[in-house]
Amino acid sequence: MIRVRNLSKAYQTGAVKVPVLKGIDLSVKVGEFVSIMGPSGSGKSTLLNILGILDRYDAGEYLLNDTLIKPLSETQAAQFRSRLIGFVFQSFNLLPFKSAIDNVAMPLYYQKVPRKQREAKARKLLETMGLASRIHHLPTELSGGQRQRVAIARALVNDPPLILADEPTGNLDSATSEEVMALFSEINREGKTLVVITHDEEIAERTQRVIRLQDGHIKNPGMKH
Amino acid sequence: MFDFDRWAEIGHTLSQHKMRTALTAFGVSWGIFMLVVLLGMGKGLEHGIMDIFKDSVVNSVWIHGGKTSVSYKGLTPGREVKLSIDDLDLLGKVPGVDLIAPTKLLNKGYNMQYGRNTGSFQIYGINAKNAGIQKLTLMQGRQINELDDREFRKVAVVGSRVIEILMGKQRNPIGEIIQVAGIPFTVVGVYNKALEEQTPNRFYIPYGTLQQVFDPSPSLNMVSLTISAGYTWMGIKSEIIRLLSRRHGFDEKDAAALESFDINVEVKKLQSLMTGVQLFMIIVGVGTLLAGCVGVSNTMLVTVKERTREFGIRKAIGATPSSILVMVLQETLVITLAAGYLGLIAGVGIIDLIRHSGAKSDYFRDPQVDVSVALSALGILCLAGLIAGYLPARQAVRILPIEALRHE
Repeated sequence: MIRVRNLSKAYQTGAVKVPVLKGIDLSVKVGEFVSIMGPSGSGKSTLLNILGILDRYDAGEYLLNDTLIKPLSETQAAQFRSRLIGFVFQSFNLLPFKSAIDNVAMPLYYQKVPRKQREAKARKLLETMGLASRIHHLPTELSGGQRQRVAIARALVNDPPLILADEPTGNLDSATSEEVMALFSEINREGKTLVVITHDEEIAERTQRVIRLQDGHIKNPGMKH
Repeated sequence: MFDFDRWAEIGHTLSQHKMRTALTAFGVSWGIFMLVVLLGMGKGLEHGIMDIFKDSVVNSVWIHGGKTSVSYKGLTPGREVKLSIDDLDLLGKVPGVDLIAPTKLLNKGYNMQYGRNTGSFQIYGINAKNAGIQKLTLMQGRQINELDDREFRKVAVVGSRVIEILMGKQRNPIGEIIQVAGIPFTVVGVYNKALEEQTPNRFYIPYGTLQQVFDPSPSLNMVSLTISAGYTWMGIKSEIIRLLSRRHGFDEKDAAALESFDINVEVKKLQSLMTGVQLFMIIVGVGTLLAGCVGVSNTMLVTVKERTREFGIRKAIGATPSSILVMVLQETLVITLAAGYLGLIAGVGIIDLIRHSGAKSDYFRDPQVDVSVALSALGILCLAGLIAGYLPARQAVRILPIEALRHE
């Protein structure tokens, strides 16, 4: 699913170039459930953003589904994101003026799926996540856990093979985190590839493989724990 | 082009941001509203001014006798020049003079009586040709005609005010008889409007009748004439002055001896005033429009800036840059058109209301909206909004989604 070779990325801060990723080699197979751990500033979010084509990289190679993701036009990038990737953010990133069902249905709107089908699909997903009574609520009317489930439903709605999650439980209490992780495990069982960033060892343990990142390098290439 | 889903999405976004939508909409509505009202009132002013001359023949000239200011052939200055009925034959032969007619005002008051009502009004003697020079707008009846003059008929065309005072309003005045100093005059026409009069309260009788009944002297107060096609008053004035100066004994160069009033010159003066007013309207209108453009542009700029994060989210879930651009532009278009339309309706409504309320004065009547101007104004506003939305939106969709998402 994912193959990364010698990937590097630096941020320009004023006149100084700060390297964030310093040659990452990484591969994730179809159907894997992988977690990325590391202290803040280790570059794990940057890596995930690059994997999600939300950000660009400077050197190296990133192949997604055997396609080289190198400077794409924003239109092509949008098409890849739409077909292949579902992204779950720590801060949910729901559109505040749209109801749960409208938020979930948005990716389908950009795939030009007719309205009826969009709504049916979004409704079904929200129901399976136990949000049947909340589908017409605005994000501000939902709890953190509910919001994250809406965001996960949105990531799943167009049935992408790859789900990327950046600290999806970072803003949630432990009970809710537990629910969210259970949801991820189930999604993984259904055959989707998952890459999840976390700083919580317990969460990481529930994944099949942990990639530890430090100072822009992978500390444990390819190893389980 | 018509994608129901897309419009539904726009409708939803706009309705969920009521404040933002309302502010933009208000700016556009107000701009268009002001423009429409301004232009409508301008038209009212134009109509009012043009209406003053509606009843006069544009190529007519009125000549009054004046007082000499220089000595002439041993005659002292300060003598009155009195035009006479015989001058008509003399001046009528000048090439360029078309119609020519006398006006004589009796300077003595006469008591007029109808039933038990009495009054005193100014009596003017005119002939049939006056009708072609100084139009009296008739409410009823007819003008003085040639037979009236030739046969010294005791008939009168009188102002509506005279009828009101002597007869009240209930009766048809045509054919009624008014006693003037005991002499019966039959009313043949009633006028309600004349250029030189605020209230129609004159009593016009045939010149011949006036001469026979009241004053046999040949003197006139005014000679009015119209200029034939291809001539101007300026062109024939010197010849007319020359003829009159010989007959009445004054210096041709004496400007005070005759007074002439050329309607055409007056019309031109007012027309140039109108041009000035219109220029002013255009400047104010363009200013209003510019203010509207700045308003719409500013709102669009701020809106797009505010929405960078929203665009980032949309892109993260698969929106292409062009789909976001199109969304922003369509939103602008919807707001501008809908709000502009409302402003247009409101403006046209106000103007119509003013027109139907019948508000008019000497210089104002029948305000009217030039819809094509208002529509082009709306088009310009749309364009301004589109440009103002497009530039920052293009910038916003170009940046990487992750940067857009960090935008607060």
